[in-house]
Amino acid sequence: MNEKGTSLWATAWQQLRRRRMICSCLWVLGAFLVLALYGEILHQWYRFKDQTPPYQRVDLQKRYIPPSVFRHPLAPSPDGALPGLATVACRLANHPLGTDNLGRDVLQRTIQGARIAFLVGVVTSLIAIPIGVVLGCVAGYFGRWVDDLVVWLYTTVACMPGLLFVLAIAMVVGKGLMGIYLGIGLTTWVGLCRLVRAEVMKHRERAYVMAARSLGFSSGRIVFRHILPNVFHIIIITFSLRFPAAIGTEVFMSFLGIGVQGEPSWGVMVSNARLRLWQGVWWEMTAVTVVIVVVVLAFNLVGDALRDALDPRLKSQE
Amino acid sequence: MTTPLLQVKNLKTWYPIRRGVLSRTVGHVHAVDGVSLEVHPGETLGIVGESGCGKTTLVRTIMGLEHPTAGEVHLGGTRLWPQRHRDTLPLRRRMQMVFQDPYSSLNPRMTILDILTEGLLDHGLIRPRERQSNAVRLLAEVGMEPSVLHRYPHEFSGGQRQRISIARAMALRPELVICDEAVSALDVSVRAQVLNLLLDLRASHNLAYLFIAHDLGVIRHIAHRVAVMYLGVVVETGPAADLLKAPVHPYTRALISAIPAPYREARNRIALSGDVPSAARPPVGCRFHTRCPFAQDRCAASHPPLSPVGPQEGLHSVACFRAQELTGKPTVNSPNN
Repeated sequence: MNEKGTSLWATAWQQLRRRRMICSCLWVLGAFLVLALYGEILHQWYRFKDQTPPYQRVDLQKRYIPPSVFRHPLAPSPDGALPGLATVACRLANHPLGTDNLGRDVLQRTIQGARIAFLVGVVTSLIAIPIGVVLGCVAGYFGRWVDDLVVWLYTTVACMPGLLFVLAIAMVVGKGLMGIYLGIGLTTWVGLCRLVRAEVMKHRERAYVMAARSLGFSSGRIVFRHILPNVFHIIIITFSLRFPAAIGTEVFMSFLGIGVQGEPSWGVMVSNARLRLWQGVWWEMTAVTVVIVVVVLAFNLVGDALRDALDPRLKSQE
Repeated sequence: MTTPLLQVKNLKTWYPIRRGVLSRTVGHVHAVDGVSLEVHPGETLGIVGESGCGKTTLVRTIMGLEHPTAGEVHLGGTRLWPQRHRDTLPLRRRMQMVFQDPYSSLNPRMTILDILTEGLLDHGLIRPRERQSNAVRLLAEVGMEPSVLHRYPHEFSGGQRQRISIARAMALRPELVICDEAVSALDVSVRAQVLNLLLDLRASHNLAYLFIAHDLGVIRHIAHRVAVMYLGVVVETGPAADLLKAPVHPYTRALISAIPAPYREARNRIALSGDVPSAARPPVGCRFHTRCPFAQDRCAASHPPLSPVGPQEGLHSVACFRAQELTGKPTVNSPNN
């Protein structure tokens, strides 16, 4: 017997680390986080200096430049000599993913898009998850009329067609990020609330809760210190699965034109690129789509693996 | 006699049965239907009875985990119910519970240290930096190493978990520990160890136990007095030795005749026919008359009160109209032979 025990969280983490696929997904998500942070710093820096950031600067001379790999980076220099390594690197680094119809750098805009996507994922989760968890816990633990009230509330919310509800809220709040945050945040807590409620109801009858009640703990302490850690895996799994969904909704709303305004989000970029696609300008669309697919896929894979690692019901079947 | 530590008077716990769209209450499950009992300091009261007879509901109601429908619970002379739960918290500390299932009774996300000391901290009995020493002391009391402090419940066996449960119950220095089938889920060898631990704790802390078991062998080993429950009521109560040797109530006789007796000649088993009647509609009159081999007309008419029998006046009581005739008859005698 070693001194230090292994918590269920530690076991789950070890289980995740053993899977190579999940490790690479985690690296992808790490890169996504770093890029989003970099985008945020850049954004704040140019706002502070009150300048138009480079990814917004219109330069009609540089319209429709294809990605650097397709611009013959190995072509001879004007004097006919073979290009040096430095020259090739220089050529590759110049608009590596090309430019769009207004001469803006696609790579930089994609990074800014990552920033918006990250913000949307996190802020909507910060709105939706607390609502779902608190209502679910309270309804599940106290039952009776509290439960009736919460069930009535989420049934009502769930009755409304999701996207229309999001759009309605966004219309009321106004176009822009705030509309997206509130629209997605206030409509997507229902699923989590249901899951948490059901799980709390199950745990309420467990002997460890009875023991906590015998020890005279308050209801708040029992719900949030004793039961919540036991349903926390649901919250983590939900978070990892709703994050890409929120990104998708943002893309869709921005595509419709009621989302992000005046900032390059992935949805704005898709909407833009769509118009030039028939002119043979494929690189903007490709860049955005590939990034969205990679990020969403990584999130989903990690979410599934988390479910496997954290859900005690699946654990026994190994 | 000393004042009882725990006194339960005519306690009733009924669960409403709701039906229909408007969930109207159409009846009640009479889980506990008028139970009175006393536990004195340092005394062990065993409660026996078959599954569904209300043993667990009774102790959960005493513990305040269920709302009683009627009746009184006094602890150390103070009435617990219907006072507000919060007002009686300091009192409730004197009464703790050990649960049946060692696998669900410990929070899987907490370390043993947290499990053992949370109660002490919450009641303000120790300071945070005294946690370690207190937890080590509690573990020592139940015969476990201090090295397990930072481990989690899923790393232990059933017997070890039950020891930890007992340590948790002992943390607040209770005078009464309610054991709800505390050893029923354990292997026989482990069961003996845990029982001996309970006996040791009783001796060293002058504990009183309210001990539920369906194993009469366990009861004989640990209990001073026994109460036999059937369908939410106590049908017989008395000193363990007397009651187990010379049971009076026909139900108790049937229970005791069901103990396997490996080295004796095959005895006449009293095999009860039929099932336990539904607690939603308990029989009128004596609860047991539908299955009782000695039943008469008056048994179906009215409910017999618990009345004393036997030489030791006031110790052994039975709820049976024919108690006087049945007293002294050998246990094994069933009317069929």
